[in-house]
Amino acid sequence: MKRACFGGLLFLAVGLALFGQASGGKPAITGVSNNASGALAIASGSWVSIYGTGLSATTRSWQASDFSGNNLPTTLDGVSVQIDGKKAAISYISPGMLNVQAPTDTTVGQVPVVVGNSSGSATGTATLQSYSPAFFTYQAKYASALHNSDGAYVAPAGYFGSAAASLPAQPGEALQIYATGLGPTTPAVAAGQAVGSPAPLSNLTQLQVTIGGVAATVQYAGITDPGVYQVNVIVPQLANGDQPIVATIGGVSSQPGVFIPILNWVGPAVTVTLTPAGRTIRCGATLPLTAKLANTTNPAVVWLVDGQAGGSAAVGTISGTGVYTAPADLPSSGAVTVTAVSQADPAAEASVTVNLQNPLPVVASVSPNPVNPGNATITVTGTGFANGSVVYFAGAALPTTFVSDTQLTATGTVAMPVGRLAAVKVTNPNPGTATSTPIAVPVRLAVENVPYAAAVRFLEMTTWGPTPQNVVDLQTMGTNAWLAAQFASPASAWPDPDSSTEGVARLQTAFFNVAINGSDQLRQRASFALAQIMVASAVKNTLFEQMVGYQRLMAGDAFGTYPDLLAAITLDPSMGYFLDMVNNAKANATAGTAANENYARESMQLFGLGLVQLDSTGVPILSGGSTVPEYGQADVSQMAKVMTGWTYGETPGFASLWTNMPYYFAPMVPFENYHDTTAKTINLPVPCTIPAGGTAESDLSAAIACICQQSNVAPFVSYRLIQRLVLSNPSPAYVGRVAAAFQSSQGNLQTVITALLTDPEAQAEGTGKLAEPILYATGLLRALNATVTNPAALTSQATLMGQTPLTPGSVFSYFSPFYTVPNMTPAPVAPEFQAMNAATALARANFAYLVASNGISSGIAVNLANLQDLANNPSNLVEALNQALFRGEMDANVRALLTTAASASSSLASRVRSALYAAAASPQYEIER
Amino acid sequence: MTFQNLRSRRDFLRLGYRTLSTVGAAAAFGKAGLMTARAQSSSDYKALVCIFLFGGNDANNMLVPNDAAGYANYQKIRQNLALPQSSLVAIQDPVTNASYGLHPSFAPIAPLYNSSKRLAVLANVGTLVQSVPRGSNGMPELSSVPLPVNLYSHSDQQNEWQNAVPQGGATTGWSGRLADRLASNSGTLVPPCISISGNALQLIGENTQPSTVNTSNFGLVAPATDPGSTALLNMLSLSSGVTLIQAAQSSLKDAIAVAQAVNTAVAGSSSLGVTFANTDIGTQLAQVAKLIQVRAALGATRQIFFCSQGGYDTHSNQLPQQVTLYSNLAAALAAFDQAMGQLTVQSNVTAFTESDFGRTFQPNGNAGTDHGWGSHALIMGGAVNGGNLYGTFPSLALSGPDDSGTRGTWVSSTSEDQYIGALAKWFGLSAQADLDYVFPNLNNFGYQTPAFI
Repeated sequence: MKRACFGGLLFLAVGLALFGQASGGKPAITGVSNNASGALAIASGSWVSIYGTGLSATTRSWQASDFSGNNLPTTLDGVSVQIDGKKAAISYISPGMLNVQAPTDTTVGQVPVVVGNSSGSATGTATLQSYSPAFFTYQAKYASALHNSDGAYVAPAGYFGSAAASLPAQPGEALQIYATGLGPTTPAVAAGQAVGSPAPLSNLTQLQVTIGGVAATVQYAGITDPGVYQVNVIVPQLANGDQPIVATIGGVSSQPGVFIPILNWVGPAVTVTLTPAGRTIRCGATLPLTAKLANTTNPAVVWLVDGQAGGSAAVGTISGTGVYTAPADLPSSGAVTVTAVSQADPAAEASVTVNLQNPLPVVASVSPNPVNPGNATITVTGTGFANGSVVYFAGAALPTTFVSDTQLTATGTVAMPVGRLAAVKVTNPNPGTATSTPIAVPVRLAVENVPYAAAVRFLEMTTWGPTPQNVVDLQTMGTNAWLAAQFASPASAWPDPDSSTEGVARLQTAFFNVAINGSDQLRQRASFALAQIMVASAVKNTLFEQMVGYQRLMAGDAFGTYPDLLAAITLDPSMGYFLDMVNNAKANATAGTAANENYARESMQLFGLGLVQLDSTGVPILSGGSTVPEYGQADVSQMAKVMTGWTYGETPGFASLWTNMPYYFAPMVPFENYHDTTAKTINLPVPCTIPAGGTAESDLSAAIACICQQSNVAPFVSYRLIQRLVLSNPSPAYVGRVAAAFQSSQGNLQTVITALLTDPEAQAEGTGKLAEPILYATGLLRALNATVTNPAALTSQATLMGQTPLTPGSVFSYFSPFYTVPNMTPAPVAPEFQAMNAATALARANFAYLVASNGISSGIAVNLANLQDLANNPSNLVEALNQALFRGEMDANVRALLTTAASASSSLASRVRSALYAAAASPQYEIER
Repeated sequence: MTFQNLRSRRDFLRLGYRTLSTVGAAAAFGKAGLMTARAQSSSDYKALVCIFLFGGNDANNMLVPNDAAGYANYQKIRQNLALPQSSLVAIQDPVTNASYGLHPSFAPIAPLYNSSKRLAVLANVGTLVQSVPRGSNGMPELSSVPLPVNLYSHSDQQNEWQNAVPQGGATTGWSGRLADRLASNSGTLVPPCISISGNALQLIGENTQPSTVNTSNFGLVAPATDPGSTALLNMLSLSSGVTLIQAAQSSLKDAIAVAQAVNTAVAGSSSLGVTFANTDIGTQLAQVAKLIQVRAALGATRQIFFCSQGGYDTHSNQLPQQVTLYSNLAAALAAFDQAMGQLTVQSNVTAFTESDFGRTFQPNGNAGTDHGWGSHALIMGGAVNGGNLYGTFPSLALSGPDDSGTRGTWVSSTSEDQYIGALAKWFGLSAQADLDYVFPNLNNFGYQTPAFI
């Protein structure tokens, strides 16, 4: 309903008065009538015109300053009016006419009207009725009316000239018509006051309005301004032309001679335009649509979605104002049609297609929390899920069941993720495929038989770096069962050489492959440790065939006994070539040669005895403040004689002779003619006397047995194995305990390895060791669960870091067991630091950076997706790194620095790269303790 | 010593920067001092370049008697390891007029001995605590004096050559101690002792910490602007209370500083214009030459470099191996000499060899030789009194007066201390206390050093 302007109507009433009356002299009343109709009857609250002479000295309308709050003025320029003894509000004064509002009065009949001014007063009478219906008019002809649709005046076109637009009324349309005297309203509106809110007629049903004699539907009638009633009617079907309008109420009709101009206008067909068209929105989203109608003054439309008025839950709903809300679930059609139908002309309509997409999924929570690794059923709760949504758990898609928009169920095998923290996210299918922001969910074993940190520590000693699954296995099995399984694990296979001239590059690659992907982790670690005691190196053995047999032997015998290993390695052709025992002939006076001392010397010095006598804890025995030699140069010469008479095994298909051509796939064989059969005396602490006349084989057996009965062997080997597997600087007591196990088991390596791993000093956090470059590389890749299909690039990486696989610099291996870090007090024994210098320190950091960038090589894929998902929240990323690289024991200062690094960029990939780089390159990670 | 010392060095580094900038800003503070400190003339600069021949160099085939009797004796004992006399590169001892022949692979540097006089040979030098006296029969009395610990053992003899304390146990090296005394305030950007060949005990001083410089790939890959780089740097300063973490922190921290200094200095330098062979020793000496070229940018006045060549442990098949080893060494030395000439620092730089030990004069059955004791060394540079043979050439007799055993393992006639002592004196070491500090056994030899320089 539109409210007409009060001032505008008043102007019309004044105009009417001006047309009809002239001014007079002394105050005298000549008539009192309905202001709108001129009828003599007036009604309570209606506008009244008082005619006479000398009614006022001045002529004006009320103005704003005449009002007092909500009260209309009752005196203008000294002119006041009383009707039936009650003050009337005055809107206009002139000498000949006053316009006043009849006061609220229930009196019916003749009432006095008194006009007073400075010249005196005059009295007249008026007829007061309950109803005095009258239309305000334009020029006393057309009812004062507006088109409901646009507020334009209802009058013949051009009726007001350029002052205002006007059009005749069209049958069917709604008009607002202004009248007075329609009687009481509910609530009642007091005369003389502004109207707070419109008040409908108390007896609306009694009001009848006819236009052209045809009853018009009254939609509304009530007071909207002081003394002014608005009547909304629908124009009935009428012929063109001025049609009289009459309102009747309480048996009283409005004045005759008031018209509504009618024009049955037939123009272009009504059209509807609907915008926007072709939009795509997600389920649950809204789209405001606008229907524009042409060729009608009636803008109303009916909204349909897929033909249903107002739509439905299945296809989406649309409001009366055209706001379309897509359904929660994607309909099978993937699109809906929204139609707007003109109310003015139901034949006029327009449609648009709204394409629908699946909603944006949001994950709120995951149950259970934590998730157990293994077979799991995971309930994901959130919003915006769709039929076909897939749950991703730490980057792996799980078979997913759509339960509802707010719940999914995923079932499958859950692997322990890197960092024990899984990013869980949901991907909705097309159309509009989208993935939720991930949330972090910890993954934990329900029962941990070994605490996490302890398990990681143990695996750092026993594997090439723990993978997440290694830790799960150990925590599940317990240490003893895990060790038993590892001892039973057969050796990984090593490839065969392609030719007798192939170099070691492919074997080095195989080394990393076995290390990273092999299941015989402890065997290969033990083999690697033993190979750093009984060293053969590609620094001399540059051919594949010269090193592969050695690798097989060391791994195959790693869980046997030390004496057996020493005997086997002594006759191994790789070692034979490396330390020149092969083709070592006895002294030849004619040729002026002596027995080759190389293997004799180095095997005694490095493989089991050492240069000085040790006590049972590996501490050098002192005599007079000096160490005591284990043997002397003469003993080396004697042992060199023992080691004579061996050549390569026979190449299949060739006769065996001194010397055989190189053959690396069978032990060396003896040729007695080249064996020194003289008696040998080796003055070890337990002296060995090998009588003359022995064979190459018997002499060698005697010598091996002799070496192995020396008390140095147990602490010598134990100390080195502890250094390789556990820590750099074991206490003598620790060495002593392991050496005792060595001694009592006669060098059973399973016993020794078990003893050194389960010793209290191995179990507790200690001084630790620097991860040697190869283990640093494999450890980092395995901790990150890298997929390594071709590790060839690691050879050069490890070389830059100071440790080329299979290639110690000499028989003295990569590091001295006694190397101390310079310029620290006390100088810590730390063999691995022998390969730590400016160049290699930079190389280690650079390796970490390449790994963190997944840039080592195409054969080494570091899947950073889960970490990148976690990086959405930097503290989750850092916690994952804590678990993955720091056993969950990350120092608070390290955590703070990594969190800063993880927060610096908005790019998730950058966050992971930066934080992982700093973590992996940090000394706090590199030192295992 | 402790990390305190290391920090002191860095504090000094920082002080150096600060002083420099202060002086730069305040012109009133006499620029002359700064100029003296920064702009070194060639005459202010000295460098020692050690080439360690790992494995034990069979110098018996590096320098061979070339007179008729001497060669015959050599050939008789060396048998199948004897070099043909015709192949030898003849040189002479101008003092005794004795004729010797260098291994033919040394032909590229023979002119440095014969004509340019920038190459000298020191005969039969090795580890000694004291000189080994000879008995009345002329034979060495090995039990009459303390001998170097664990003779014939690679690891021990390498260490003893490097720490110059053949009694064993020293945790510092002679180069480091020399730097302690002479070069501790040489340069502010890099340590005075630099290895091109990994960690070397020789370079470790009480107060002077060495660094290692790669021949390539020397520097961090990660951009300095990467937040991870910042975090890593900060982690290197965290106090963990864990010794090995501290040690690793220190390693990387030093590495980053040295790499930055070296890369910055090298980046602005011109090409050397001398081609070094792409061998291990060649690339190492090329890198030393490059560092010497940019010595001013590094602010270095006294430097000791450590290079090495491996593979000398020729227990078998020795002859072809020696050809390769010596050819590579000679080519690298020749190129290095040329480079020093171009840089006009030939007289400021002295290169010299060390090795674990010599080898048995008697071959073994595998056409190789076994571990020995004394051997010959090469010294090269403009300051060297070249064209001379120094020391005492051993008597090449098995079980003879110079044999420590039966196979021709020569008792060193000149101690390593005397050999290196001569170099140290040239480097500037003179006070007796300083000589004792660097070479605790030099007094056993009356502080006498050979006159090759």
